[in-house]
Amino acid sequence: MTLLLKQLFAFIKVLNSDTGENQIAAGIACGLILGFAPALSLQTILVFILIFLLRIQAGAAFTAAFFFALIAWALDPLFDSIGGMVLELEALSGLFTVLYNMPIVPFTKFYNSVVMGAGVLSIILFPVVFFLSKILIQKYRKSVLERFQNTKFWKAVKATGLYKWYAKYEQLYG
Amino acid sequence: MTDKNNETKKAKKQGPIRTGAVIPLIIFIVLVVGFNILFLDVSIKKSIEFIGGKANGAEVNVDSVKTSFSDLSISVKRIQFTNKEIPTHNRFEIGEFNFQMLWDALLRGKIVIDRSNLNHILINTKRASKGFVPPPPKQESASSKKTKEVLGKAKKEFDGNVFGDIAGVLSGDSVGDTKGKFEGELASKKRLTSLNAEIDQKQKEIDQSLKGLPTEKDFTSLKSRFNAIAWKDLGNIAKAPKILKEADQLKKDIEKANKAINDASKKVDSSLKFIDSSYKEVQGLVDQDIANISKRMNLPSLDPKTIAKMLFGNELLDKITELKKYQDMASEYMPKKKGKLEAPIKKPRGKGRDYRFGTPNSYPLFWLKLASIDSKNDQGIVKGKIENITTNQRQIGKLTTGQINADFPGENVRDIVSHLEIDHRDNPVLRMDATIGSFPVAGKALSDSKDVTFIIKQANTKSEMKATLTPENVDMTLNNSLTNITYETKAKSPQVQEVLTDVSSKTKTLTLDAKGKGKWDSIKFDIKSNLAQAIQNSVQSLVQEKINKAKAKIKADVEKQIAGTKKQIDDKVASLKGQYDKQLNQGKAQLAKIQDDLDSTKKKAEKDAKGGTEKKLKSLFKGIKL
Repeated sequence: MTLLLKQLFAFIKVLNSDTGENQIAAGIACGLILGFAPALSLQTILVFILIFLLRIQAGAAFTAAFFFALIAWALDPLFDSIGGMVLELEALSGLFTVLYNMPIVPFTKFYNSVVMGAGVLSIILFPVVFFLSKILIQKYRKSVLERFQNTKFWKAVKATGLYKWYAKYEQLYG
Repeated sequence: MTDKNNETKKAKKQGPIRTGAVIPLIIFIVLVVGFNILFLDVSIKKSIEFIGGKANGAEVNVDSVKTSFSDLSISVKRIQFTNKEIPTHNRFEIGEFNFQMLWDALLRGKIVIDRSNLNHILINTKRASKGFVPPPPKQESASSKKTKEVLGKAKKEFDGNVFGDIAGVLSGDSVGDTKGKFEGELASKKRLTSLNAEIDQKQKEIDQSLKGLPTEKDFTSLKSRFNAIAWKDLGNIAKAPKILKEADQLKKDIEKANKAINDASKKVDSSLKFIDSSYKEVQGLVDQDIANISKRMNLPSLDPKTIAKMLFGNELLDKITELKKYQDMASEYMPKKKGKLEAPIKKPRGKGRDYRFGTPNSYPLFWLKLASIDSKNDQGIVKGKIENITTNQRQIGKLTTGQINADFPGENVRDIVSHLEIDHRDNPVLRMDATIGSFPVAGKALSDSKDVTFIIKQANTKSEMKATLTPENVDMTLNNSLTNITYETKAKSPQVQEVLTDVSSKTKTLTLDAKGKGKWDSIKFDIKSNLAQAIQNSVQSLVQEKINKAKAKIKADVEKQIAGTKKQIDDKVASLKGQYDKQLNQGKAQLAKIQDDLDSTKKKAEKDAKGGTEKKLKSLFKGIKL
């Protein structure tokens, strides 16, 4: 629970910081892939490496992964039926046979109905989640954050010694 | 000044790559590679020891493992398999085991080994320290639990000490009082008690069905109705229909009464039949009780087959158990497949279903194409090969076969020829055929109690074994022949000592022909041995009479125990038979009489009526020419 709250606060902090919207949105979209994937497979490892090497907001990715995993738990039967449907498609059986017998590809566990279902939905929803998150972050920063920062209350808080001390601390160690 | 710097920092555009993460990633990769270089060999060594230990049922040790990434080769030095019966020794050890995996398969997540070599094989070597033999697992699989249960039953059948029992009879210890041998209630007595209650119940049911039978009053009424019919008026055309209707109605009522009697009679018959069959069952239980008490009193059976079972049954059973273990293992790792299109494997919720798109040319999960055995050392020679050990025989279309020939002159184990075949393509079958030309047997105790010692101190054995195992059936034969036997015999009683000396002098060559065949839950054992025959010949005249007397006494005691209940039942059955038979037969006889009277009177009346009418018609038409 502490870890979850920590992640949540970190995410709110990221939202309120100067971190780029694209980075946060990409993080949330990657979180979708991580959260939907039922087990550790080649594609999840790939996403981890991408988060690690590219400027994708890791905090946003892991927080989103946690929440998407909760949704995925409920959506598992749907993933199972979509995956099963895809894997049973006559037209694709040749391709799957080739993939199944290719080196490395089987490590993606594409032949599992839930992995396939979650994968298909992740690919479809990735751009949707990315752009939607980006728009929402922009709106949040403009309509909520800016307004809040312009309130007298926040200006008063910013003027206190305690806040200045915190801001300095954040600058040095945060 | 600081603010200006900050602004410059902010303005600096960052690229998409997190340069700061590159070094940690490199460190991570270096650590993984380092681990593999330093600890991979140790991990594989531990894995072989763990998996080998599970398969062997006792500790397995590996001296060293050397791996090479470039050609995916692994070399394992000195694998020792502890003998679980003698943990201070190894059952065998493999000096060197080399194999090379295929990169092509490994990149597909499969392990395929083209060829492996096993060299420098030794048997019965002494271990540096005692090997660990784990206790049997508490939680067993359903299949092994069932097998254990079934084989346990057979084991019970083979339990006993032939010589000890004979000594007991000769000394008179086991032919004495049967007191205290009636452990708990006798099965026959228990069944008789329940049968007594069942007879009471049956009697109630019969009484109930007899209530519906016609009474004396009904018979009188039928008779009066019969007498009331005016048969002489049957010739009268106006009265005839009424008479015939009355006669028909009477006939129907007689048939109805007859049916009620027949139904009751059937009920009585079926009840008596049930009692008869239960009674026979009780007789069987009496025999069983006598046999159980005889066993508790250690009365030996002098039938050579029973003696052979007691002497060698467990030996055959141990071999079947051992083979069954390997069959279970094969079933676990080589599951049989059905049909061409395999149904997806169902997993628990949330884990989905795994589809298989394997083609005939693809690799199975594990495939050791050839394990070549070529060992020559001071101890002896082992040559052979094991082919196609795999997790999916259907996929590769090949059986798992093994052919091993060995000869260890140094250990006096000569001319071993064994052939193994495991077919899991459709209906799983394990076939094994093994011959050992000669091997030494030492200290094999056929009886080792405080009263009698009969041990094969030394002998040369020739052994042939053939087995075919399926999930449903077992068929195994074992033919052993022991020559140059030196016995160690010792008995407290001089009479028994005389028997032992006689038996040992007559069996300088000992033969054992054993067979276990049938379904796993009802294996029929047939064990023959000349030793059993020799024992029978030697002791029959001495103990047979005593055994017969003791058995007769047991029979008398058992019958005494059940006599009370048996008499009660006999009386009830006799009363049942007498009472109901009389009642039903009387009813049947009365009805038959009324029925006969009715039929004959009706016939006569009809004849009379017909005759009278013809006469009248003739007189009416007299003188008229048509």
